[in-house]
Amino acid sequence: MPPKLEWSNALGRVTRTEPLSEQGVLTWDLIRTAILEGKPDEAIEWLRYIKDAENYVKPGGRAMGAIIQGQLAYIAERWGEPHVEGALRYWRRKLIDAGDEPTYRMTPLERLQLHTETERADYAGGLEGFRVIEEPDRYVLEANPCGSCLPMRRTIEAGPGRTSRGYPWSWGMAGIPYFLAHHALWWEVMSIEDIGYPVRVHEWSDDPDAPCRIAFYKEPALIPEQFFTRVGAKKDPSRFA
Amino acid sequence: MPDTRLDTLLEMSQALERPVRAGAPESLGDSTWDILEDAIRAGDTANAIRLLDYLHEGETAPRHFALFDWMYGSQSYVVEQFGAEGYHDMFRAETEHSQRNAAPGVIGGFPGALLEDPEALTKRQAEIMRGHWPPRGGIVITEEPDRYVMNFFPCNSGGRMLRSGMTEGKWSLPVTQEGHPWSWSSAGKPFYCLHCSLGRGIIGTEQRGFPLRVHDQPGEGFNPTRDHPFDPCRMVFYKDPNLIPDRYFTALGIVRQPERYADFPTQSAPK
Repeated sequence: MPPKLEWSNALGRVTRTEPLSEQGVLTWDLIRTAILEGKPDEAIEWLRYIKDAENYVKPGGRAMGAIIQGQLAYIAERWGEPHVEGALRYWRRKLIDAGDEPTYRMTPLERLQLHTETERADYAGGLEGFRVIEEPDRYVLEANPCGSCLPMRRTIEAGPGRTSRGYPWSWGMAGIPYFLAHHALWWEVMSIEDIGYPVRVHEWSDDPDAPCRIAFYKEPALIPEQFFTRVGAKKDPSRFA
Repeated sequence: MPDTRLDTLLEMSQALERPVRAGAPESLGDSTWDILEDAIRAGDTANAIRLLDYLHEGETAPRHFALFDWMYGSQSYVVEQFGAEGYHDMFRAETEHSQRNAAPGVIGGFPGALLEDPEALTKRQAEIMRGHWPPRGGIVITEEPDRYVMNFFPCNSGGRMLRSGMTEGKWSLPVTQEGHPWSWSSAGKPFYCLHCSLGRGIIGTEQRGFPLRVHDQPGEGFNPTRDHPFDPCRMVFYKDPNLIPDRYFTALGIVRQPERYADFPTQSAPK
């Protein structure tokens, strides 16, 4: 019996219902086969099943970011908020030291390409409210919502799970959900420590309903001083000459 | 209408050593899913296949792996700073938090209707494992008279982490140093993998009297460890909890209580 999609009352959506012996066939391969056999409707049906159901990182679910947020909230509650910074630093440094994080060695345009790819993978803006704007001095990525963080910011209530006071790794602000703080720490604080400037900066709005805006400056010299000082650093052009 | 010309859409990235969406910066916000649908509808077979492979292996897989690896990273920080019990406590707290917010009857993310139907539960697990973006042919499912057996070559969740060397060298993420009930009483397992023993095994049993699924012992051929990272992984779903061998309970330090699952539906008994 070939793979097929049918409605599941238990899951509240369609799912693959063929016999178990066929369930190991990758849905990606079902799309490929349908394309090659000239069956566009079937290919699109499989594609939408992956997008809406099989893919872990998808609109509405966002389970992965929420799980990491839960880990960080537990760490803060049990061992203290400074360990949130510790855990985030630990992981970022592992990624860099293992050669698994290429952003530093990229051009600003390459960084934009990689980071928009990540946002697309997170279904930023529900894929409707996501756009990239080129300005004379920078590229701006605008997402409403940001696929990974902004739904969290809009749903996590004040209290546990948010910074209790301002830290450099929370843009000097209290009330930042710990998962969001990785942006401040990884792309701004640690980037300045490592290469002298933030590879990307985040325009914070006090309005949680506002879009998330991330800027990639075309030259480090063009990055305004405020993006250094708000994370407790000082702009030192000699470091990126 | 997005530009579907792949000569401007995809470009080899030297930094990433794979294709990446390029073209005009303003185009980068366009959905790859939508562009692919357009190519499929247009009958542009070559470009549709190329874009499909990019969406799979370039756009979605790296993000998927990065988020799961990060979970292991947070667990690793806790283990290194506060010990293995710190991991155990954090996982339990996360699970309890999730359970408080779950719909009635849901255990471990599985709806109650699936929990009472081993075949449906196995199919949902197959969907979950396909969602870990395994290699082609990496999932082989067989049915035996008393159980459904899922074999992974590799499990593309924790098994992928082991095979990619995350417990070695510059990564050196921690594995269990001694046996705990919540690590199948075994050393050498990545802490990430223990959501199967602690979550689906022990906590699942606490909630319904028997594990959601059972796993072979680490290091014995079908549950990879740091010393045997290329072993496949296997999940077993028994059709009737009474048929689950005692050893699976013993490895998790569980005292078997058949009265707790006496009411389990029997329509899934051996055929």
